[in-house]
Amino acid sequence: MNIFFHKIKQRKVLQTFLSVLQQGKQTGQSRYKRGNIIFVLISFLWIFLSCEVPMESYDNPLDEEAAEEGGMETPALVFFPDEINVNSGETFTVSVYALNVEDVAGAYININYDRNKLLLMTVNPGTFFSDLQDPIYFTETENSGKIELYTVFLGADSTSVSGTGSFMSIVFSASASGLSTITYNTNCELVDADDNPIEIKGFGEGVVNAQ
Amino acid sequence: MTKIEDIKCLLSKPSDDGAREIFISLIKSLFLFSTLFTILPAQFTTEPGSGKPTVAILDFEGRGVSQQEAQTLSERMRTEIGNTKAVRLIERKAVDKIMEEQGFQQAGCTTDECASEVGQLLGVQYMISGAIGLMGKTYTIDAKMFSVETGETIQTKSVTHKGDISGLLTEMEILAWEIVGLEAPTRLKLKRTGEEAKTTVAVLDFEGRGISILEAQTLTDRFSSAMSGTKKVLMVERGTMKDVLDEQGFESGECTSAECAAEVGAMLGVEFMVSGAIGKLGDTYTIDVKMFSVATGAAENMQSVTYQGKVDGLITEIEILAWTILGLDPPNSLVQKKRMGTSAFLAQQNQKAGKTKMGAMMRSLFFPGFGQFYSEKKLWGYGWIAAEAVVGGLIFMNYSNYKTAFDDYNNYQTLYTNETDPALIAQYKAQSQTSHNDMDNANDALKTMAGIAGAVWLANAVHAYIVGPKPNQTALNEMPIQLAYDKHTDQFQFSLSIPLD
Repeated sequence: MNIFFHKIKQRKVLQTFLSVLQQGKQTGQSRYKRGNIIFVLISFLWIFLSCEVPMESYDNPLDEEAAEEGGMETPALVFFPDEINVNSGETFTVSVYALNVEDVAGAYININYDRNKLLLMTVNPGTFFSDLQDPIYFTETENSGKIELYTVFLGADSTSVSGTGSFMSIVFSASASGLSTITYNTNCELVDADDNPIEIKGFGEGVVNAQ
Repeated sequence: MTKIEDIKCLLSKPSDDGAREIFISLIKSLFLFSTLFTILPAQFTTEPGSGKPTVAILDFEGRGVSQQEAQTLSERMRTEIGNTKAVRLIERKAVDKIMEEQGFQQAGCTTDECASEVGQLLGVQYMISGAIGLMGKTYTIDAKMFSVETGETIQTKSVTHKGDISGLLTEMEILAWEIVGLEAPTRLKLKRTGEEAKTTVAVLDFEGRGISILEAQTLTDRFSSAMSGTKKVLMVERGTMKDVLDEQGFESGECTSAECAAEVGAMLGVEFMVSGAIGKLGDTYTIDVKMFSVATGAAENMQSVTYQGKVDGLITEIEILAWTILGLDPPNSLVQKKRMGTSAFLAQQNQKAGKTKMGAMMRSLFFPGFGQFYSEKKLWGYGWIAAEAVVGGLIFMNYSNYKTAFDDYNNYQTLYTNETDPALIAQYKAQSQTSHNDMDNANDALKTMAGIAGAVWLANAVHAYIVGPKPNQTALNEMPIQLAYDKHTDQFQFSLSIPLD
């Protein structure tokens, strides 16, 4: 019974289609005109829509101007890159950067991460201090969701560094999918050669999207 | 000698069927003979008993063409000169024999003295000699006919020909007529100009039975027009035929017998005559048309049609008859016209050929200039295409700039995003910003140009509408006076149209 009705339906659809075709034949001229208009409109739309100018976006976390425009004052501690997209199980590297600092001779960096989603693999020293002389370098990585770094220049010469540079690079593995953040604790410290604290005005944030 | 004997034989035993042909041939020969002697009265003296001067043609000298080619062309002149029937030609074999006896070769006999000597030995009155030369891409033929007795030059002719050497064959044929002082026949002149030799036909006014003379004449005119439209025959103008009929003392429509038609045809010099009758019985029309050879009097074709209906259809029947009487298939348009009826056919033709302003505009909307081409305004059409092409070129140029800037921007963006050196970050950022500005500018220019292109496009469509074909163009809008030159009749024709609607 259903098949019967289905066939009738099919026939009706076919008849409708044929009648539309027939109408099309009868009004061939109007169809031709309509076709022309559509052709012209599509041509113009193609011209206008094909050239889209992308919005300017400057979001390098190490760009001082962009940081200030984004509301972050310097000196600051930032992650590079600050947005990471990885597949679950993959490893990736995040560097810890001091942005626009002056006369830094020692640093204490305290970082938090989501240990349920990220697995700390290794921590490597950065280039900010190591370019001058070997600093004392010490990290605590208990895989407790926290990384602490102590680094300092010692000696009679008051050696210090200025500008932007990395203190360390951290290798993580995305152990679970999902969004997680890597943040600085506000008790991070930067000091000059005389052990005077340097005010850290901004703290960046790293976002990891594991899929 | 053989030819003379043949002619004598023909004259002594005229068959009933061939009597007329012989009579006409004799008239023609007499006519040509008298013409020749009018033009060349002093030089041409005939041999007793033959009535035609004797002529021998020496092979033309080849200068830049091979001797074989020159011989072939000379032979063509020999053949054609026989067709003139104005002279008695000595066969090539006889010339060769004499020359062989004298130890000459035709090719070597190029001087007047040699030709004269050969002519005397042949016993002919006139010799024809000449040369065929090639200069660059132009062929020249120089022919001369001179008296063997006095050595006096009777006739000289020179011809130049550009083109293939085969074209010289026709030139030699024409020369064969002209060297004996006759005008070359039309068929050869047409052949020279590359036109097909056409049969000449004259149409006598159809006899009207049950219709007026004026109606019969109108239908005859339509028949003549349709026959001329076949482009297979050359028609004799009504005026020329009227003159001949007047000379013979016939009024229009009186010359309906086959004898009269043949006589008129012979005077007109046409190959075929067409006569006929259109009768009306109630609503039924009968058309009987006959085409016969003027030379033989034999009917070439006879057609009869019976038609019932409006006069429009009768005209179509007449037009179709004009084709069928010549043994041709009527064109599809006529067949369709007969099938559909004249009114419906014309309506369909008007619909097909009807050009409208809207049609012009739509075509220009589809592509700039198409509407103008459609309206036969080709210069405007090219102009609009050129304008659109220029704007299109500017669009492309700006798009190219945009694309370059876009690619640069993406490259610098990638470098900027991945860079950790603050100095390089600043550098890539600056470069990225410059590229973005370039991209912005190119895009603005692109939009402007696209706007201009659109405006030009629309302007072209509006223009196509304005200059588009005017609707309902009738005879009132047409030029009422027309002047044309007919190369076949070598006459100017003047036409004045007065619309009656």
